[in-house]
Amino acid sequence: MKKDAAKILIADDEQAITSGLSAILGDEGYTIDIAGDGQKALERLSSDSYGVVLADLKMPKLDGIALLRELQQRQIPTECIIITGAGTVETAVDAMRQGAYDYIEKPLNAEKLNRLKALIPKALDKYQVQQKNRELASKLEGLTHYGELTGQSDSMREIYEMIDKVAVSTASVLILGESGTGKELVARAVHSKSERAKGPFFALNCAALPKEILENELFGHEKGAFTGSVNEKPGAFEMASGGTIFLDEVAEMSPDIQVKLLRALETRMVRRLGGKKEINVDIRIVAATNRELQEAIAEGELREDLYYRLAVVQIDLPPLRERAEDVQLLANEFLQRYSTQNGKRVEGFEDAAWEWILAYHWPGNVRELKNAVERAVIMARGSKITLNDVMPRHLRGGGEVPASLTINVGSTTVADARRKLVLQTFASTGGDLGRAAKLLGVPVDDVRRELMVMISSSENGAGAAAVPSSSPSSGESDAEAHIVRRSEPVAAARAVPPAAGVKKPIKKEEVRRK
Amino acid sequence: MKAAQHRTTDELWLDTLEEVCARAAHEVKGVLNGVSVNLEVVRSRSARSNGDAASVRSFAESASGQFERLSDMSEALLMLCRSPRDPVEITPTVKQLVALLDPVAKVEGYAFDVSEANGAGAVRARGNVVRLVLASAFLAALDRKKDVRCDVELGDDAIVRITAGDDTIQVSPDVSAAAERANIRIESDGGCISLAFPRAGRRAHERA
Repeated sequence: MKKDAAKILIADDEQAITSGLSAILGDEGYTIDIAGDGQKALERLSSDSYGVVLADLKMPKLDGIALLRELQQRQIPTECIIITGAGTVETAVDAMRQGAYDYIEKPLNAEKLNRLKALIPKALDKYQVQQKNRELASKLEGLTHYGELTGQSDSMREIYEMIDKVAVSTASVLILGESGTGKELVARAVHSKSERAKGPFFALNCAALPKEILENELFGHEKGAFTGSVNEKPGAFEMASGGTIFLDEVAEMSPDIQVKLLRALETRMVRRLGGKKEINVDIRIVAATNRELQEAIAEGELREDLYYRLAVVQIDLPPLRERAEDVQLLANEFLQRYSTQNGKRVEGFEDAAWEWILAYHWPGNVRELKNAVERAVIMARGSKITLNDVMPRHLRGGGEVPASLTINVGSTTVADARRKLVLQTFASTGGDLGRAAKLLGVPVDDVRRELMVMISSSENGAGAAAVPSSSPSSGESDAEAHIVRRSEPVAAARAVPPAAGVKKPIKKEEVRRK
Repeated sequence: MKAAQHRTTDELWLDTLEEVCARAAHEVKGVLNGVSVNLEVVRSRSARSNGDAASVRSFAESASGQFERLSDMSEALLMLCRSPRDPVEITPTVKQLVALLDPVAKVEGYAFDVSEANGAGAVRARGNVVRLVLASAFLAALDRKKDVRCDVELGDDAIVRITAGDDTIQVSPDVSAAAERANIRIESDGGCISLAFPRAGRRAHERA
């Protein structure tokens, strides 16, 4: 940190000390402010930003330790160096425990002042790093897009944060995730956020290319290296030097190429096919796979040493079904994109379509959702996408949506799991209470109760689910219970604000009126 | 009997002096810190080729001021550690204690305000009893964590009134007993403690 950009607060009641210290540190190029006691120091720190505060341990109104405690409690970002006259280990330990950056004992003779001068830049560096992290965290909060990635779920925000951290390093990155989760988009984000952003980005799918072609693509060849090679050709390693190579489906690479890749990663040098010359390359590898890598290693399909080379940093992309709160955001984004592309005025989804979109388990992940919405936009006849527009033909059969449910062990209570199962089953029947109850093997009232609980909790957010009311008197038949049908659709609950053109979900009161 | 009482009083005084010194020692370090920091400014700025005297003068003066404070404190400490010459003067004793305890009050954020009486105020009690009673009352007043006011009046008795907020200021029973034996009257009234020392050279009927 530049000294002239750094502000330091001196908190001491001794005017002789504050003026002296102020002069010494001012001569060093820092901007200095003074607070005559702990309370004033706290007020200044609350209203202004200081990289470092030098606080006397004994001060009127609020002593150094109490000031540290307040800074911690109020989460005021600064690094505090305590100046203590009581040179006891206990005091020092107490100060450090309360979050002090360091402490210096009085009197501040030339030697101690030199130590202080050396400490301040380090404390300022720490402050600056933490400040950057805080800015990043606040930027990520509320973020729905990152590069080409879309998502506002906690898991996606963690991914964004991870990309930010890893991008600035030179470490190899391994991205794991099911097909269609956006592994290449993550790789592109890592590249574009890195210092290599101005360099090339090369993406190769190792599963899509035969062994010989892949080898040629990666390492290039010399003229006459093989039949038909009339010209020399640089490989991806050479062409992407100074940039990033993205190797998708890396576990599908043949063992021979794995050895060459490992060598290239270790030595940062490659040799073209048929070539003798070693060529220096400056490359970052981002690899991806949807395979279970431990299994691939155990079966000898992936070299363990290559795995460790590639997986210096590992990013696990969650499947779409595990970030349900992103589904609505993604669907709306695709709707807008494909409406524009196809020149159609499609404003939103009908409730039944929403219900299906939100309840479906999307085994093909974001790619499947994108394709489904694109197809729906093309097929749509009106201003809104219907269930038939969006639901693939092979799933329409019995009217039930095949669905699966992922329960996170360790963070899901039995009650939550039960509620999720009830909602998913209810949605998969198209809102047929009786059928859902039958499938679940529970009374209809149990299903309704669970749904009502979910509505109550989701009303704290923006969405709510419509649940059919029942006649309190007689035992209801399936036909009576089947109140919500496709023609009288359900808006499934999601704590996601409806986007433009999306009908507001039905509130609990409206449900009761029904 | 009297010798034993004197021994007890002297021991009490030494305990009290120890406490006064302990509290003042921290402030000595603070004053030294002020000296050191300001001298460092003088040293570093004078070492520069373009260093001008004006830019260091205030720091040199500040260091000098700190030396004076240090001098006052060490002088007071020396005086209080020496055996008192009887009859003891009340005002200098008050000043010596205040010189040591005022920085302690300041660092806690409180002021120490002393109003002295003119003229000599020799008192008839033994020097160590006078010091013990005064120091104990000052320490008790400091513990109230309020601004401390001290008024010295010289009449038939030498009266020292110490006020700190509204809470009662009291000295320990041992100190009260030592005071009583030396005919020193102690009265506590709200946040004020009055110490009445019999004046030296005045007979009882004159005082009456």
